[in-house]
Formats: sequence, structure tokens, C-alpha cells
Amino acid sequence: MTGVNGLWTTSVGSFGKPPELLKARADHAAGRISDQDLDALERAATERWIRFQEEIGVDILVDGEMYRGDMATYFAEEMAGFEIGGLVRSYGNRYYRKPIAVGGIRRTHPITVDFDEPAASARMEELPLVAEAMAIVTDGLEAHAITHICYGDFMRAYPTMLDIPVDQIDLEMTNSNFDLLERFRDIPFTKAIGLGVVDVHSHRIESVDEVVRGIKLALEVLPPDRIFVDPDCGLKTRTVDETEAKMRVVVQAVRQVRNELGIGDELPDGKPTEGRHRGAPVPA
Amino acid sequence: MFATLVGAYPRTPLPGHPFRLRAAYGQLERGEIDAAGFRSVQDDLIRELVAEQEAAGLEPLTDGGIRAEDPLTYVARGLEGFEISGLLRYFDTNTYFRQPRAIAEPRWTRPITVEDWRFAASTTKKAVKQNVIGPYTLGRLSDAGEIAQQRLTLALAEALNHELHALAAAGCPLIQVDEDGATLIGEDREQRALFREAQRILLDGFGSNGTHVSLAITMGNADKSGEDTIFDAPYASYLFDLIAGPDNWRLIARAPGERGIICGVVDARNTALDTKEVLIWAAHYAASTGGRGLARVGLSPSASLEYLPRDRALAKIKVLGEAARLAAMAPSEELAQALDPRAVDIRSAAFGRYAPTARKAAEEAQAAQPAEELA
Repeated sequence: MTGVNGLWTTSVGSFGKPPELLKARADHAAGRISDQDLDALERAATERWIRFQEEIGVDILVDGEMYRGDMATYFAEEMAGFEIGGLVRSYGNRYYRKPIAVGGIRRTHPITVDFDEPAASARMEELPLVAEAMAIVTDGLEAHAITHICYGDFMRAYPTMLDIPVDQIDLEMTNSNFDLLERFRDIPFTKAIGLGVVDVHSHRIESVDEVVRGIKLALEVLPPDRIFVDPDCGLKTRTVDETEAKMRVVVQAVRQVRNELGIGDELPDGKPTEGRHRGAPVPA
Repeated sequence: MFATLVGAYPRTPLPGHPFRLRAAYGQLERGEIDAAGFRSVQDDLIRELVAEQEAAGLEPLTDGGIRAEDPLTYVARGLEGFEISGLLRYFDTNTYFRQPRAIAEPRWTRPITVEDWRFAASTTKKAVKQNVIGPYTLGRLSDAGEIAQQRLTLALAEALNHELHALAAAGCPLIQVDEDGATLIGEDREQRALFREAQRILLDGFGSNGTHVSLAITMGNADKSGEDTIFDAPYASYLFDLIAGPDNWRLIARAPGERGIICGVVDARNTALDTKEVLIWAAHYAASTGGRGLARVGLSPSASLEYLPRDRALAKIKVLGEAARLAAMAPSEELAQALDPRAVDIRSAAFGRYAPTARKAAEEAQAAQPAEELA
């Protein structure tokens, strides 16, 4: 594979928050510290994660979402028309604050770029609606567009999910034992993939060999220049130590496979790809 | 006429109160408390939630599902033959369960929910019911592995039949079997037959032993599965989600008149407060079907109330209890004064709140204006 670049390492978005930031968020919610105090700690934590990713050699960095309590509530907080309700459990001992629509929803200021659609595979009959909504979101966007889908019935959502007009679909694969890859043999995956290779809901740190195995399974059905290697989902559910350990394993495993197969690490140009509008293959 | 939960209730605190259960999970993980210490925190919360339901006028009561991490895993862990795998979204909700994976034909070796029921029942003089996940749903949502879905489901039916008998032997007066998977059957003949066979095995020995066994179906429409499928086994009553599954009204209309109906009409997945008039309308409509009568009808949320913050859930069960109280009243001046007759039209019933047409709303607004403004 000499001359081929690929298997770029990245993350889904969030990282574990350091204990001092967790405490500060609680203090801020109780009115004990100011917005500025919290902001300073969030910036310091963000910088720490950026330095960490640079140090271990992650290819495409994220900011770690130190300023977000939750992936959905954060956007509701930043838009007009929502009130933030009480806690609701998502699983185990994990909770989020439920956004409640109380008026017309409006974007009043720039927030960030984020196209996560974790629930896209929850209602199969609404997948065309997801694709239609994403077409509006990505219309005219001159950047590599990614959507993240997790913890749904991928087997039923595939291949219809390919109709979502993005360049890359990021999927949790470790949690579902890489089962979906088998289907790619019959119905080719037409976009770039974000390949989740470590479980974000387990304290256990995967071995490099386990992650190498997952990457090699993907290489049986996709070329390296369409694979971005990352954790299954946001790592905010893990402690700082666990987050670091899991990211180190991801980077080490990719390095090992690249060396073994002669794959380079030159980054793609970040432009829209042909894959954005390449939907599900038409059956022969 | 009564009001009851489908099962689960938020384990989160009311605003301004400490979240002791969440802290206890952390303490347990760090080894700062042992299992008994953790259970005593759960016990305190269950006492609080039972009292909350009782004060709202609900009966039968539940323990809020506090001890279960999710509806499937808790029972799967208690049986032999499962290992617990990765997270999966529960239907189209924002909650997840860990998928059980069958590694052998499941076997019942000990009671799973009996002690939980005993504790909840000890905290009140009211009747307490116990939920148990049904064999079809557990079999369908699990990874059947090498054991095909049919074999797994029927083995589960046999295993859970032991659990139901253990609950009955302990004195549990009302067992609710949760079969949300029934919404996935549709017109598939094999799945229909499997559902029927599983329910028959599950209810073997019930029907005349004094324990009321109820079938609950939430998360969507089950009418396409056919009434022959749903009403085949001798359940004493049926709870249907009428918000995510409005076509379940068709099943209610065809339900044998001697069986009870619990109308899941309080929207468990929307924070907007429900209109008691619509709930009362639903209760009376269900009572009118098949000559059932109000004595065989109850009201409930459409699904688990865990999809809501605690304060919203509390507001909803208060409406639920009040609606059941009013629905049971004979026509009287008090009843007339408690209800807004405008709220009960087809459009409002569909929305679950008073929702006049634009024209009617304009007419009402005009009528409400002072006479001098209209002149």
C-alpha cells in the first residue's frame, strides 16, 4: 500500500472533564462562581486536551467540549425558544438536562459546527427525513461534513443511512462487535467512515492488539483513505486517565498498522468529497 | 376506576433537593459504601416515590423501577444463560439498555423481583404491583446468539412463568408483564404465533389463582399484530400506550368486555401538562366498549415516566390521580364545575389538550373581548 495515506486518528468530540472543572460547573450552577471563572477553567482544560492530542500524535484534533454539559442541551442553551428542564436518565447512572421547547426555535448567534445525529437509526421510517434535514444543513458547505450515529439498529438502518448527504459517517463499532462491517461486503459503504475502535462505556482499557484487529477488519472492506479511526462515541463518560489511556491505544494501534502496511499519514484536504452525494448503491 | 404508573418513575430529585442516588452510585464504584449501603439509599428513594404516588391518588403503586438499570438487563442478569453486552437505544427514546446476549438456553434458578416487591409493599397499605419484562420482548431485543429467537423466547416464557408464580406465592396481587415488543410484530405470521405461544406458557397456572396479571404494551401501535394475537392469552387486563400508539384504540374497541383496560393517555414523553378532561373522556370511552364499565378501566401514563424530569412527572401524576377521581364520579354539580366542556372534541382529544381550530379560537377570542371594544 506504499504511497497511500489514511487511517487518520481523531475523536468523536468530547473528552473527560478534569475534577476541578466538574466541581467548578457544580459551583457555577449553584451561583458560587462567576461566568468568567468558569470560562477560564474551561479554556485551561481545553488547552490541556489540545496539548495532549498534539503530544500523542492525533491527526485531527477536537477541543474536547469542556464547555458542554451535554451534546444536545448545549445547543438548546445557545438558541432562543428553549427552556432547560430537570435531569432525565439516559442509561445507568448517566443523566442529561431535558431541553423543553417553549417558543419558536431560533439561532441567535454562531454556536459551533456539529452534525451529530445519534438517533438517526431509531426510527427507520424517518431516515429519509434525516437525509432531507441534513441536505439543508450541508447545502453549500465547503468542508468535509461528518455525522455521528450511535447505539441504534445499524443493521436495519443500513444501507439507507448512506443517503444522508455527508462525506463521512461516524459509527460506534466496538459496542456492536464490528458486525456492520460484514454487510459492507454485500452492499459497499460509499462514504468515508469514522471507525469506533474503543468502547466509551467501559472502564477497561482495550489492548493495542484488539484495536489493530478492528482496524484490519475495516481494511478488508474499505480503503485506508476512507477510514478515520476514533473511539465509539464521546469520551466524556470516562475519567481523564481513562480518556488518555484509550486515546493512546488508538494512536498506537494506528501507528502499528500504518507501519506494517506502509500507509502514510498525510492529511486529506478537508474539502467535500464525491461520497457526500453518493447514496445507497442501487441493487443490481 | 383507578390510576397507576406503567412502571418506572424518575429517580432524579425534585428541584433543590440533593441527588443521593447518583452520589451513592459513585460511592459504590469507589468502594466507599457496600451493597447494603447502596440498597438503603434505594430503599429511601422507593419510600419517597411510593408516598408521592399515594399522595397523587394512584393505586396500585410501583417501586418506580429504581433497582433496575433498564427494563431488560435486570431480569436477564437474574436468569442463567445470559451475558450482558453493548448499549442499544430502547425503541425511539433517548434511553439505552445493555443488550443481553444468550449463551445458553435461559433458566430460572431463583426469584428475581420478589424481594423488591416485598420491600415496596411494606412501605404502604395500598396495593403494589410488580413489573416483569415479557418473554417476547426480552427474546426479541436480546442477541439470541446460537439459540434462535424462537427457542430463546419460549425458554424465557418458561423461566419467567416461575418468576410470576414466585411473585404470586409471595402475595403480589398484581403483576404487569411488559411486552413493548408486540409493537414490532405487525403481520408476520410466525412472530404472531410465537407471541401467542410465549404468552400461553408464561400464564400457565394463572387465571384462577387470584393474582391479577396485566399485559402492558407501550412505544407504539400493536393493532397491526391483530386482536387474535394480543387477546389470545388469559390476561385480566391490558395497558395500551395511546400516545405513541393511537391506533391501539382499535384494540380497546375489540377487547373482550370482561377484561380490564388501562388507557395510557398521559403523554410520558412530552413535558406539556395533560388536560384532565381528555383523560376522563378516554376512561369513559374505554368503559363504553364491550359493555366493560368503569370498574374495569384505569388511567396511566403512556409509557415510563423516566423520560421526564421529576417535577414534570409529579405534575402529571397529580393530573392523573385527579382525572381518575373525577372519572369515577356520578354526574354531579361538582363534576360539571371541575371540567371544561370545550376541551372534549375530537381535535383536542388527538392533541391531548384543548386545541381549538384557528377559526374557533378566533371566535372565542372575539367573544372574550369587552363589548365596548367590539362596538
